[in-house]
Amino acid sequence: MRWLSNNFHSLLIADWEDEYTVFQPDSGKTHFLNRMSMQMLSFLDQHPASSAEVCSYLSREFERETNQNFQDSIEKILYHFDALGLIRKEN
Amino acid sequence: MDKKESFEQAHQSESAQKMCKDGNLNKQKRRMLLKGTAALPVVMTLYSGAALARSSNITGEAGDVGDAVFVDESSPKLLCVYWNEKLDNGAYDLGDTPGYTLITDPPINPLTDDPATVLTKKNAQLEECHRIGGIMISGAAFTSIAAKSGAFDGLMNL
Repeated sequence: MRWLSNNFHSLLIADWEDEYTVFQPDSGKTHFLNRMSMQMLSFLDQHPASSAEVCSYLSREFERETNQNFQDSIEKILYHFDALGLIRKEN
Repeated sequence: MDKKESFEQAHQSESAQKMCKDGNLNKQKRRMLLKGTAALPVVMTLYSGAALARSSNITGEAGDVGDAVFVDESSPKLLCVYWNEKLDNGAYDLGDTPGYTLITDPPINPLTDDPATVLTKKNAQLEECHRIGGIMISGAAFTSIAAKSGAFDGLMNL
């Protein structure tokens, strides 16, 4: 299964030195993201990716090794993003 | 300043400093979490209270008939509002545009009825309202719902 961002262009994003406030007009909600979460969203805006690909991208970007815990966390955040309407599954 | 006052001020100052320190600690923890010190993605969501409030007209029944809305000062009639759904917490969802009726029976005449009679009649109007499946709402709820939905615009001419 691959994920891609949902209406990324409509988000109003403010950068507070590696912290981000993201206003989502579709839902009227405001989200607070750290750099890694923002990188995930931005990455999925550029091309659809599976959770494994997202993990691999983040491990490169943040120079860290992946392990099961990390993969589980990424998977969890992806489903959370999906529930918030920030990303969606590719058809 | 006597010793007691001096001690109290010093104590209050210590408490204030501790609270400030605790607050800063929480703030630091929150910032650490967001800044990715934990090297994991983090997302926190702030839900818009305004958006939730706009989604429906949810209110509780007025606590006392004295807080309820009566229309027409010369012959007060209870504003009886119909509800769509009773929620688990005891509140009522009145729907997008709440329906209502004015209870006229028993008629109240503030000029001839003494205050005890007025109260008795108001309670009788409330019983009638409950009998037909409505509730009384407070003035504050009335103002809020009227502003949001325009449901009570027809009452403005009375």
